[in-house]
Amino acid sequence: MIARVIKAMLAVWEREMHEYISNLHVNAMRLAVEPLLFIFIFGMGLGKRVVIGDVNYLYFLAPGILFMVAVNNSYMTISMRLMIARDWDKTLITALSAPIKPFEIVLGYVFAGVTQALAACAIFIVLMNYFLGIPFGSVSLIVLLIIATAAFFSSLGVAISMVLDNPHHLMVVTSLVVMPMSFFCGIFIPVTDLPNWVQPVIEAIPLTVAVQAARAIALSTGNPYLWQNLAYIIAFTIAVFLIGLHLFKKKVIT
Amino acid sequence: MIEVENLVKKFGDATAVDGISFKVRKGEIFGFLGPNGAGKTTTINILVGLSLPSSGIAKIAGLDVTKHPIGIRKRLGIAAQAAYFDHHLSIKDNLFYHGLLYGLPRKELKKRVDTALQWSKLEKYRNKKFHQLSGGMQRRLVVARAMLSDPEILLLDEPTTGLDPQTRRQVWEFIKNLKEAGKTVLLTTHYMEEADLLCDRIAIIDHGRIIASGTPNELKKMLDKNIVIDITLNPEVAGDHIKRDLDIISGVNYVRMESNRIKIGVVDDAIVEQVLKSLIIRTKISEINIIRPTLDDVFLHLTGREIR
Repeated sequence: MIARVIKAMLAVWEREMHEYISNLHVNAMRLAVEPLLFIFIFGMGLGKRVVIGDVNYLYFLAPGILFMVAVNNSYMTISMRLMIARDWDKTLITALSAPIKPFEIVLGYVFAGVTQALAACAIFIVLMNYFLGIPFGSVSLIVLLIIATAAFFSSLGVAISMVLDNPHHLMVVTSLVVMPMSFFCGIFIPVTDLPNWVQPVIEAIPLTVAVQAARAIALSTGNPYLWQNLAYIIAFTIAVFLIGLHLFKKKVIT
Repeated sequence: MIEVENLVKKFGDATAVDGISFKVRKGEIFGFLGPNGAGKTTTINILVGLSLPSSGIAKIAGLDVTKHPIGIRKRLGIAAQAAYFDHHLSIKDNLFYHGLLYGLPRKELKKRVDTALQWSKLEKYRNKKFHQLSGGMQRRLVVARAMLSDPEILLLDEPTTGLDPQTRRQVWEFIKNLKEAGKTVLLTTHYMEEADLLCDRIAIIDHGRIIASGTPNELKKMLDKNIVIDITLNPEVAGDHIKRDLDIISGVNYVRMESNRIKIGVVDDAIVEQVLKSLIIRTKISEINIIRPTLDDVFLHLTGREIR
């Protein structure tokens, strides 16, 4: 039973990875160019004039941008691919005519999102560490946070692509919800610099929890709540995954 | 192999399938004949598990479609009416990744992809994208993909819609080969000729209900009383006495005479023989045409309109 589920999930994952690798030249924009632009403009340019406590701004920024990379390579890829599969190619219908369950399809897409995010983050960490000497602390703990965050945003991508019927609407949601998240969740400035009334809301978002936990690891400032932080993100991921699965079934099976 | 009993599917207030029942036997081609919107595709979607029935039972190989979708899909191959392929993948990769969903071992799957491409005569186009193929090639590929898992049962939803006559005949040959290979086929179509040529048995469906079913001949026999004998007589011997002689034969519905041409409506083949004997004795015949009812006539008879 479990072997069949894994096999079915991997079949979906492999197809998505094939598609991703086939378009690597396009995906490279998200993989390397976009985060590097942020590092050069904000970190190495504007960052020279910014002081966050006694921390070099570039060192403060890098763990944040790392999670921006994770979001872009999970949420954006999965929401767009699923919208195409549902509405344009309609390959979701073809997939569901094979012996595979909706749960396995959604799991395959989420796994693909996590893999793509991990690959992009690995490239970012290597580039930052090798060329700019930016430390990331315990990489294995950072990887755990990336996996949980990418799984959360891939699941969010599943849910949103099942709610929206128009690619333009997807762009709007990305611009008005996901991108602001990148700016306000502690990536560029500490959450404590935001107005008091908005801080509890921002701190409840899994991305903020992940960025702050990763920054504590990278800067070795210590975080006694690391495992609680991770459990919090995983709990949100499971909830959003189940919502995404429910919406998937509702949309595809009439 | 397929058993459907009192199947109902409602979408809000609209009833797409309205209490249909039918059985498809092992190794036969069963046709679902009806106009667009009759409920054919909805029935197929229920059998595949893409749609849930509002009520009624549908079973494939003894398994309830709502309770055992995975077990059923392992035995099914589906060629949907609309061909859904990943536009970014080559046709070879499309087949490979579809086969992977069936859990086929990689080596075996690669062989089957090659066989499917050979079978559909698309080997040369293996690296092309789906949208780069002609309509006929696309339909062949859809059927080839349905065959990939070597299923016992094939559901072919409007397999020749939109094809030119030549390509349609090619696809018909494909479907005949499936029967020869021992497959059970449920075929939906709105082409009378297609149903007549391919199907062992047919259910005529309209507005979500099965209005008649049987072999093509059984269905046509519903209109046996409407056999028409169209005779052209030698002009020198034509005359009103011939009409009078025919009118008195029991089983002749009508006789219409225009110059040397007579149209005689009769009830069955025995009367055809009697009429012809009677005419051959008394007069000289230049041409005889016996026009039997078609499935088109059956549909017209049952619904009062031609198929849409």
